[in-house]
Amino acid sequence: MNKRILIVRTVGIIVFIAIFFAIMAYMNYVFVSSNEVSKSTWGRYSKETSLDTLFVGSSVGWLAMPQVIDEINGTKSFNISTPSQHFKTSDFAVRFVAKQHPLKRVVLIMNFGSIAEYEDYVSDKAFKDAMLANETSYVRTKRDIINKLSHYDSDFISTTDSVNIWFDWVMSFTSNRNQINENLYYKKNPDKLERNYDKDYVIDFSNMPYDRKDYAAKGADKSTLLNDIKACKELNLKNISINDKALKYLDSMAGFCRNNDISFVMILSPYRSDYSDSFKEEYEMADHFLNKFATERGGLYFNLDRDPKVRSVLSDDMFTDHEHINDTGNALVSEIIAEKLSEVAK
Amino acid sequence: MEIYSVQFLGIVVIALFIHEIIGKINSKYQWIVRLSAAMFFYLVAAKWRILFLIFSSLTIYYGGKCLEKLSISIGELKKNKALSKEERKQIKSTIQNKRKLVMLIVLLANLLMLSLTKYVSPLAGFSLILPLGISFYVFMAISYIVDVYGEKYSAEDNYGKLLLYLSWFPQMLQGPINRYNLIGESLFGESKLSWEGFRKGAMLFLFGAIKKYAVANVLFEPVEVVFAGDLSNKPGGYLLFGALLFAIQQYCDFSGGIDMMMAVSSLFGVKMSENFRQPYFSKSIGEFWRRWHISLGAFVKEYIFFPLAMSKSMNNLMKKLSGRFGKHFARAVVGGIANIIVFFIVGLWHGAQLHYVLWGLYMGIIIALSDMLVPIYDRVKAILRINNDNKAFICFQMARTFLIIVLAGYFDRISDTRNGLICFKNTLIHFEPSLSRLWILDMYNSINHLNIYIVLIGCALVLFTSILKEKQISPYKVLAKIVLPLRWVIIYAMIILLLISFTAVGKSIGFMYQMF
Repeated sequence: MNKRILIVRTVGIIVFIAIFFAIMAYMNYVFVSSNEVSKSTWGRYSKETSLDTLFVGSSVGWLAMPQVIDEINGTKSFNISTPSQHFKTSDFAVRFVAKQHPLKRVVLIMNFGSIAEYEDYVSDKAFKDAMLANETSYVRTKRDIINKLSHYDSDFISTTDSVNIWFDWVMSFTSNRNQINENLYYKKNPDKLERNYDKDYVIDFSNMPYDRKDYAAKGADKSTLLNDIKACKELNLKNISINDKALKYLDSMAGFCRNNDISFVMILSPYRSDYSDSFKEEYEMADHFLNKFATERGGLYFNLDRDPKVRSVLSDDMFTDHEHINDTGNALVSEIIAEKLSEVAK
Repeated sequence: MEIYSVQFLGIVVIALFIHEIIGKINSKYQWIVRLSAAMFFYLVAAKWRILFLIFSSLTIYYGGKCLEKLSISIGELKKNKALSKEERKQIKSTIQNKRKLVMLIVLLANLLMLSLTKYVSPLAGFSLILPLGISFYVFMAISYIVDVYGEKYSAEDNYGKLLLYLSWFPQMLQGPINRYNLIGESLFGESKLSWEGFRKGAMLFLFGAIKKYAVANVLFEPVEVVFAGDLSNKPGGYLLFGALLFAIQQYCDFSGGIDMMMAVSSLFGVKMSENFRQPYFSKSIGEFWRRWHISLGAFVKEYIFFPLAMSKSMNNLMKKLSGRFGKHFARAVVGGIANIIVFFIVGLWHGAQLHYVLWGLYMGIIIALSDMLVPIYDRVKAILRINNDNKAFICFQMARTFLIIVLAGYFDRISDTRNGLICFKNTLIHFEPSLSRLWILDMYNSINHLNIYIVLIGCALVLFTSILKEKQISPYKVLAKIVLPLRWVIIYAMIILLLISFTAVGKSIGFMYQMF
């Protein structure tokens, strides 16, 4: 081949790839990164001292408000729940935090979706990336690459993950100009992104965790809610199956707590009342499984979805979708969680 | 294994690298690299189910060799002057019977294997995960053995080559059903990857990926929503809209996957059979089947339709009917019966469920009827003075054919036959446009609007390139003529559209035809 053509082609390929990565970097800047909430959570965590209670779980775990629980029980707790946090990540978080704090209680807040899958790559990566934020860039990059390569599991990998392995942006979180502006605002003012636990229990959408903000704002819109429930009834949770790998990490968490004299509590978060009717049979199976698991592994299991007290204080209006609750509801449920935990302490 | 997974990419890149190196050392052995890549892919993707593939290849290898031997003995028989003409005829007939028996045994073995894995195991209530690509390679095995029997070409001496013919990995996911005589030359031949070939392959892959991920996968959820739950209270217009989305989803899913696999295959210098030729521009259902899943259409035409339509009993029937009702009617009836049987089999090929059988029969009956009504159409056209080349008339024909295809989606997409029939009923009797509008609006509000833009852009791209191809213009050449910076902008836009579609869907959706 002509040498000149070879050089031109090689340069062309390099320039093409360089421009592509520049575009990706720009997308990362403009859109929401998949680890925004995790970053904010780890940011708050870094300021904590001497924790005795840790809440782990996915976004449904936000129903445990540490300031409400600590005020009632006199504990020092932290909620490290992040969106789509599966048992694998929760197990990692428990072990990590236990090394730094004398934990007495670990509370895993979950729903049935949690036992059907064992990890979410984007969430797991975001969680660990955010934790590594204070490391040197060399260590961060090295761990990041190991993290990426270790996740090529053909049974697991999905389309979103295959993109987010290499590029953090998630366009569906910020697909219009207002959201982009908002995102840029939060990038410049990361402290505003934090959940404001100090406020009285008022629904304050401006302080909702970032990725739920838009969704929660729609909470008032009944048709959106009903659509969401309708879609979930038709598509989701009809075939709850207990994922073996999820069970492995759940067992690992319970075992770690047992070996370190830490109380392990599992809490099933409430669903909107008209939702769980759609999968009654599966519900019984999963509920029975969790109960049995807790008994056998020396943990405790509370089903808040069927707790009469929770049902008496929590109305469907307090749900932002079929499974997430607004801050008014979270505060009320937190009081009940505090009561349950105080019984555990006794 | 997903096409975008690192395993798949790894197999392709490593195999291609070795393929090119071997090509430089001694290109005669490149086919061995292809075979190794195919075996490795199949072993990773299908694990122990590779045994089915090996069994199939062994049957056609030994079957082919046996047929060849018997053919030679017929040839030798002709030279043998010691035997009388009568004796020669008798021996020849015995050998011919043996040949037929060999072919039937091979056919039966392969069809039994397919039936056992695809039909018997689900019916018997035990789950035997369908070996990857079994419907495709069994059909390829059948075409090979029938062709060798018909002495279309001689049997392959090299077992490895025959194994490669059945196992060539890009055809394993969802076809096409390649023919030995068409693919053989490039599959076993030598090739060198050129810069132009690489660029063409990359563009075809990107374009196929947009069809699959930016259109088909994004449409997955809306189609699910339309056809989920109780369909009896959903208005016909809404259901028809769902069927329309399904038609787009199905085309983009299937042809997108084929485009990607063709691109991968082309990098190794292997030219697979064309499987789509803008099917939604067809003017009749018959034409549609010459443009959609072309390799399956060609297979059933050659190995089922013709033997059936030209069988003795059909010939007798044609003679009887032509005496009473005229030649056209007789031909149409015989062709119609053959078509209905063929499409019944095509329906069964998709699965042993009633809805697939009904879908096949729907197609077969429409083709049979339209063939039968040709004289009436011609008369109506003459009365209305409609010219076949009239553009408005062509558009009408395309729209009519497309509508028939869309309606077929009720049987194809909905596994509960009762629900499929409800959809038909509601479309015909309870169309209710204003209520349908509200349902569509409801769906529009419940899905992410970003997904709608992705689908619209993807569809526009598919439509544009389809029009170009229909006019015999290569989209690749059109792109190549564009000034470099603009060309790059277009390519980047396509890549970004693809990446956005990944994040918009957020889950893995396999290929529809992979399960067949």
